[in-house]
Amino acid sequence: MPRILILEDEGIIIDLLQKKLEKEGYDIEVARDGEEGLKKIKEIWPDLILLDLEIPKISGLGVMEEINKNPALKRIPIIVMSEAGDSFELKRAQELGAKDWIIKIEFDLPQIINKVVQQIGR
Amino acid sequence: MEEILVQNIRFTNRVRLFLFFLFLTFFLFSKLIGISLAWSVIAIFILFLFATLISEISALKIWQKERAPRVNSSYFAHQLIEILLLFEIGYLIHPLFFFLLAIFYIIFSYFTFSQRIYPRIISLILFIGYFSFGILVYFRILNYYFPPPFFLNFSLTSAILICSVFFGENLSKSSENILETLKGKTEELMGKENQQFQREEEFRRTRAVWEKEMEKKIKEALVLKENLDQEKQKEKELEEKITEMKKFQKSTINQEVRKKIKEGKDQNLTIIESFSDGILVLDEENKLFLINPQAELFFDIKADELIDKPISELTKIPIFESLANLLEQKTEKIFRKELPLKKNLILQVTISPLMNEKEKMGTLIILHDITREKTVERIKTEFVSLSAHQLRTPLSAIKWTLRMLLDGDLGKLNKEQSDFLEKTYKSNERMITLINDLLNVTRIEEGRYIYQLLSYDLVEITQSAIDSYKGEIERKNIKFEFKKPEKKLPKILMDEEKIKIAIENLLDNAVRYIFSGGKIIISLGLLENEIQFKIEDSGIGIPRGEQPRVFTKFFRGVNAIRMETEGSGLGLFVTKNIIEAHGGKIWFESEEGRGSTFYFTLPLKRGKPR
Repeated sequence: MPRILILEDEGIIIDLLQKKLEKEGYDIEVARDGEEGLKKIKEIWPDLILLDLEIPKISGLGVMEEINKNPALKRIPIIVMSEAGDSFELKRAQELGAKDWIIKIEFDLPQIINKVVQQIGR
Repeated sequence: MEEILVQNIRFTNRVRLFLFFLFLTFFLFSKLIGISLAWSVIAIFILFLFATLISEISALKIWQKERAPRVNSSYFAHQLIEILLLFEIGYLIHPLFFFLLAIFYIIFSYFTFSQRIYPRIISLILFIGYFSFGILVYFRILNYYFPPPFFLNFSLTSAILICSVFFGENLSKSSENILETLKGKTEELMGKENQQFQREEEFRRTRAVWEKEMEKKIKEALVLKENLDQEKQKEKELEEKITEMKKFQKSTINQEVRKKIKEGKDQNLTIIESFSDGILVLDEENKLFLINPQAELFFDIKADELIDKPISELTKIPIFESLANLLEQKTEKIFRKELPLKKNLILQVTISPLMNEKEKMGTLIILHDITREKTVERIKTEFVSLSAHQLRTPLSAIKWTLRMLLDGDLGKLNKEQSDFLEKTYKSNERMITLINDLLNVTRIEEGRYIYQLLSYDLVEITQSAIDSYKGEIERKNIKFEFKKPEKKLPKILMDEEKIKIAIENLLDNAVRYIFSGGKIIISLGLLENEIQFKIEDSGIGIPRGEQPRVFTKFFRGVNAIRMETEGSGLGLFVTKNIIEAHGGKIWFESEEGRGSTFYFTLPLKRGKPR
């Protein structure tokens, strides 16, 4: 079962994503801030990371920079989630190696699932 | 006179006789002394030239020694006599002789010379030489190019020389005879010439006198002119003094006016002095004429340091530089600009020319402190930005939850439940749109509406925007037409997402404010340096009185509000900002009740985005 790490601080968003993705047959792990996220990534080596850019302690972009320091971790695909869809933020994420991006307010859950499937299959 | 002539001719004849013998010697003994005839002839020819030269020079010397101021004409007479002598004797051999000699020579050489080709060529050259020389002499061509005495003389004497070679003795005798007969004629000729000469002399004398007089007059005129110049110079100096006086007068007037202000005599000026806005006045020479205390306060500078200084000098004062730069641009109309002068001080500068009928008398500059307004505006923008951000997360959560419910992921719903949820979902979407618009506006205002420029085809973007409105167009039964350009449009650099928003906003307005069965036409065209987008609708139009505010924030037409309560009034504001950030222009034509046409253009080439 592919394992996905959700890095997100907003409870309801986590619940919704977890519920939907589990239904699709993925194994879900959750981290609520950047520090915890980095720790969990090294522990569980997920197949995909859903990374919110606005998280406490270490920001989403900060987490990506950390991941980039470790060539092995760098291979894990990341889909970044943005609240605002700020093009500057998204561009920076792309530079840091994000495979895809989601603007939460503009996308519906099924679209997000599609993006996940595109990256790691079912 | 005649004696000299005779002397001369005799002298030449003697030389000629000598040459004749020399020629004979060469001619007869050429074989004996071992040189070919051709060479001997050439040698003789050169000697001829040489001898003629000597004889002529000596003849000229005799002339110059003995006589006469006018060498040329007498000399010509001499030549004439020589020719006449020849004619008289009956030897008409002058040019003809050359031809004869040439032919004779060629025949002679044919029989005499060896059959080698070399001497033949020489003889041919000599033949051609003689022949052409004869022609030249005959037509006096040489005379034309090389005027007498030298060349003509040379040719004539050559003829005579050769003649005398054969008939030397005869010539020398008969020349004397002929001179006798010619005596009278020559005298006559000379007399005529002298008369002519005298007349010319007289003319020359009169002319000299006249020239002297002219010179005198010219000198006088020059003196006059010099005087005139001096006077002009004086006049100029005087004028300069007058202008200086005027300036001085003016500055005294200015000082008086200022004095009056201080004394509070002039009410108007007192008002200016106590005005809460900063006021500066420049005179017509762009010198600072007046500055009120408020302006002094803004610039933190004393009026005395600035008064009467021209703009160019004011640019040197650091705090004044930005304003002075504004003023240096030529302004014929009223002109407004925001000017951040220093920390915590933003001024709105209004520059208006002071006109007296048609003449510009000066410039009025009003400085209005808008720091507070600007701060409030900034806080407002920040507030909107913050709240929009904060609203987005819950709105996303609601959106996703509703979607899950609607998709039946959380259990099956009955029809009524799903209907209500569907409506809630739509309301939520509307709220999201509003928040997005607000966020875009704040981004525009903060200058963070970043554009990612890539090459795109505007037709494709327009088509995708149209596609997202297809359902709505069909629902309202709108006659829709998209006129694509005949030729393929060039791709241009643009932010695809933002341009799509701009087109969607325009299309949204057209579709929203139109009655069922109306008509919308979108057309794209290539102009000289730009692509033009045009959307024409038969909608409700924009009331004339409201047209100037169409592109301002939160604007909604009265008739639009009546028709549709929903709408943020931000669409056109955002659209205008998008188009202008791409270096384009946007405008419209509209008539209430008949419809609107919106246009925008995007340049084919442009620099960096704003």
